[in-house]
Amino acid sequence: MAQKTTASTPDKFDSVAKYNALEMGLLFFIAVVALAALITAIGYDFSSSKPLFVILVPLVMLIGVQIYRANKAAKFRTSLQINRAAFRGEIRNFQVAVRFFCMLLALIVCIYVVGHYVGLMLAMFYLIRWHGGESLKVSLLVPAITTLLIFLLFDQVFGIELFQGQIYRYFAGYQIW
Amino acid sequence: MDIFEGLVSGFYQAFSFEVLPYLIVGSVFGLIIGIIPGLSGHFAMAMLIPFLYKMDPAPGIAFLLAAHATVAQGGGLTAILFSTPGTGQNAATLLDGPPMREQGKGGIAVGAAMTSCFLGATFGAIALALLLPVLQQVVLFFGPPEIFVLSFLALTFIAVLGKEDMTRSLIAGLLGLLIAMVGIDNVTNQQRYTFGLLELYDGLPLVPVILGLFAVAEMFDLFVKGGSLVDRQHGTLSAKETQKQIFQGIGIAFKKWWLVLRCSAIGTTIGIIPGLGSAPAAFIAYGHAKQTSRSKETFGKGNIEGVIGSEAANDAVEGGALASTVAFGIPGSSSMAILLGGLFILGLETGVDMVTTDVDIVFVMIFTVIFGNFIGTIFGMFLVNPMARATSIRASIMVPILIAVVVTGAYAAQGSLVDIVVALVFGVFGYLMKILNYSRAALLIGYVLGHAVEKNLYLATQLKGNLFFLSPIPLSLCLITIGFIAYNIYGLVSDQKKR
Repeated sequence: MAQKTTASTPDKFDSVAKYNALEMGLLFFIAVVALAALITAIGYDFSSSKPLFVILVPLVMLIGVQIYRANKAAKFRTSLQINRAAFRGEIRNFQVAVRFFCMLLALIVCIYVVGHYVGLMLAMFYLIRWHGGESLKVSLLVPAITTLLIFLLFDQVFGIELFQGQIYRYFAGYQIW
Repeated sequence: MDIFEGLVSGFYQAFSFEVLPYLIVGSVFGLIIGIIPGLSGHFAMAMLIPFLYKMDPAPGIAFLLAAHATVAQGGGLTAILFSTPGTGQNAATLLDGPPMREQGKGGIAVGAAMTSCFLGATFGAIALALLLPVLQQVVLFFGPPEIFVLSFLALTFIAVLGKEDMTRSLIAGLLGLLIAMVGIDNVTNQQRYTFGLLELYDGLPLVPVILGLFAVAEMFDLFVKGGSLVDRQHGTLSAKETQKQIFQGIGIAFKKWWLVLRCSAIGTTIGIIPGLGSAPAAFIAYGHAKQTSRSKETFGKGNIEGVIGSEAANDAVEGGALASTVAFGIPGSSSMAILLGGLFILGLETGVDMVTTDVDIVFVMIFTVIFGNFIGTIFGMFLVNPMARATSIRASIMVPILIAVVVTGAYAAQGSLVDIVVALVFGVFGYLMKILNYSRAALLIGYVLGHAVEKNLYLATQLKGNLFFLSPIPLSLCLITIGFIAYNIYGLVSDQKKR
């Protein structure tokens, strides 16, 4: 992690403009969700939709106010440019966050396929070795010890059985599809 | 159950063999989390929530609350030794702690800070115990209409008084309420925003939402920032010298008992007001300590009264915050919202039941806060240097370890892979909220209060019709809410005009 961040080049937009652009993106997303929720609520039984109206009407109004404020702080066109640059991979922090998100998605897929313990070990090894640039010894020892401690704590102490993975389930005779 | 019975039962439960180990483990865990910069009280609580499903109420509460109780102690230690507050609430300690360390008095500051934390927490807990008879009477006036309006007042306070922007925090609070509406409506059986998914019929699961907002989001932050967590150029004192100084610091904190008492009172009072939290309490107490000191000019240059004042207020906040949480089910901060979630998981109801029939549980909380902080002080006294090494763990190693624990916790709560996905989604959302100055506390409180808001709105309209808010208490609360928002908007507008 540390090596990668120091090695990357600084991007051309200042941080205030970047945060504004990010906020614009987030607000538009929330506005779409809130409007969709409001329209959907109209179709519900009135008793069920009453609290939704109590929440959604002021929410939509506040989102409008915040979009106006964000637009006043930075021009909409600049925000759009920055968001495009982010999706092209030109904003370093955004890129790092997306990489981390993808890694977590991969971890979930790993857990689904090979099981919780193996999935965790693989993900931890990948993060420590390839992103963290740690030595092979540390990259092997830390995941092994952490996984062992998780097994002892969850499985042995609290009796919580973690997901065994589809491969195990397939060979154990489960119908997996 | 009367108060005396509750006190005796709470004492026996808190110090029983079933509860004590959890209390000790929770305290040490909280202390270590507090020491690590970037991880805070709500992170410590979020990590422990998944275990509650397998626990009885008393051990569960002790485990959760002990971890939260000692976080400020750990944070104070990091603030003094490394000039980096372990948690946001220790920011005021930075004013006088590091200058003391630079004068070679780091151990004295640590000892005084830890003892002040303990004394402040004890004051807050005793204040809560003394408030119980009053709360038992007051809570009877609060039916569904009152609780419904009070929930909005609390959200408004959190949005306005929190450190984040008001509009953003109000958006976050309402989003939290909206998220709570997902699932089947208990009254009409209407499916709301479930998209036909069986996993959403019971609503969004509490544990992954908490873990996502507060744990996964912190992981994103640490991963993006990378590098080491603190600047270690200052190093630590020798073990022997530190120990000696710590005992001196403890003595000084006891000598300044009157200051501790006044600052603790400030902390407890501020704790009762939803949304203010520990950091403002610590700064107000610091200001008070400076104002009333005979050596005002040395504040900011290493005055121990500055450390004592802010740390005492820091921990005294919990007693006040617990009062509104247990009596009205209205959490004043994200940590209290997590505690409220934990109480739901443990099958406990806040409100009238909690302060009348489950008084023993309130006393378990009180003894946990006191004894948890005592344990924190003991560990802090003898293990300052080894524990301070926790700050030297690189983010490249810590993030994967914490991710493993968080993912396991999210799955373990209900044994569902969907919960890990929920934690991830809320992790992304929490991270965006954090960097864009949206209040995660408001969102979580909105989410936790959502069911209460809906239930009480339904009951209020059934009991008193659509104009239920015209009854005396709801109307007064409505007027306070509107007045409070109007006053703050007026303040913002006049500030902008001045600029």
